Amino acid sequence: MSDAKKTTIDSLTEEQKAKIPEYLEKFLAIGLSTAPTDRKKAENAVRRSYEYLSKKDPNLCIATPEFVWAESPMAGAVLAAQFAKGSTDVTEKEIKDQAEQASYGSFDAYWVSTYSFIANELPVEKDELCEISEEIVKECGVYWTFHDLVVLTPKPTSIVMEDKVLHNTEGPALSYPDGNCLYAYKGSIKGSLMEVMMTSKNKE
Amino acid sequence: VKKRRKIYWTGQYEKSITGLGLAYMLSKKIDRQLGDSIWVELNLALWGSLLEANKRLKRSIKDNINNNLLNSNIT
Repeated sequence: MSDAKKTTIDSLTEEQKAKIPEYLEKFLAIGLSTAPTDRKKAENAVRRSYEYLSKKDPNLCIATPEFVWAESPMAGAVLAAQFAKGSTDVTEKEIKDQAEQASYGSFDAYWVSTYSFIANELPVEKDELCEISEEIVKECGVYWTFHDLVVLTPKPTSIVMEDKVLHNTEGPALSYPDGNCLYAYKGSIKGSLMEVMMTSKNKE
Repeated sequence: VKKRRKIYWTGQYEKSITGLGLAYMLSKKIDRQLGDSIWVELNLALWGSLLEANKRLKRSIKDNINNNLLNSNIT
C-alpha cells in the first residue's frame, strides 16, 4: 500500500493498453455468468466486505453476518422488505423500494472491471477493497445488506442475449432457479412470452 | 421475522457495505490518483464496450424488482 507513486497517472503505456482486452473478456464472462452459484464462496466474498467495513466502523456492521438465501431477486426483495420491517406483512411499495437498496453482485462487473484493471496494472495506492469487490461480482447474485444479516440470491441460471441486449422469442431471456424470469424482445422487457411473440409478429 | 437494521446507499455516507458503497470507497481511494485522460480511455475501453451489456442487465433487474414484473411460477 505504501509503495505507490504519489503523482497523478496521466497516460497508459502500450503494455498497459495491451492488457485491456484481457480484463474486458474476464469481466464480461463474470457479468454474464450463469454458472451455478457456489454459496459458500458467495457468503465468504460478502463476509470479507463485512470484515473490511466493521474494522473501519464497528457501528456500521458486524464482521460475521448471518446469511439467508432466496432463489431470485424478486424473492430476495420480499425477504429483504420483511427483515427491514420486522414483519411478514409487507406492502408492494416496501418490496419495490428494495430495488434501489440492493447490491447487484455479478451485474456490477462493468464498473469493477475498471477498478480491477487500475489496481492490478497501474502503480496506484490500494488496499484489499478492490479484491473484495472482484470476489463479490464473481461469486454473488443480487443481495441486500443489513447490520448483522445478508439476504443473498444466486446468479441467473440462463441469460439469452442478441446484439448485447436481452432477447428471446422462444422462452425467458433471463431466469432464476425458482422459476422467476424475464421475457424480452430486443432489450425491451415484456410481461409474458405471448407479449414477446406478439411484438415479434408485429415487427415482421 | 426479527427486524434488522438495513444498510443501503444514501450517497451521503462514505462507509457503506453495499455494492455502491464499495464503489464509492474505491473511487475515493483511486480516482484522485488518475488523470482525466486515463478515465476517458478506460471508460471507452471497458465500461463503454461489451460490458455495456452487463450494465443493461443490472438496469433490467432493477426495473423489474421495482415494477414487480418478474414472472413467477410460484403461487
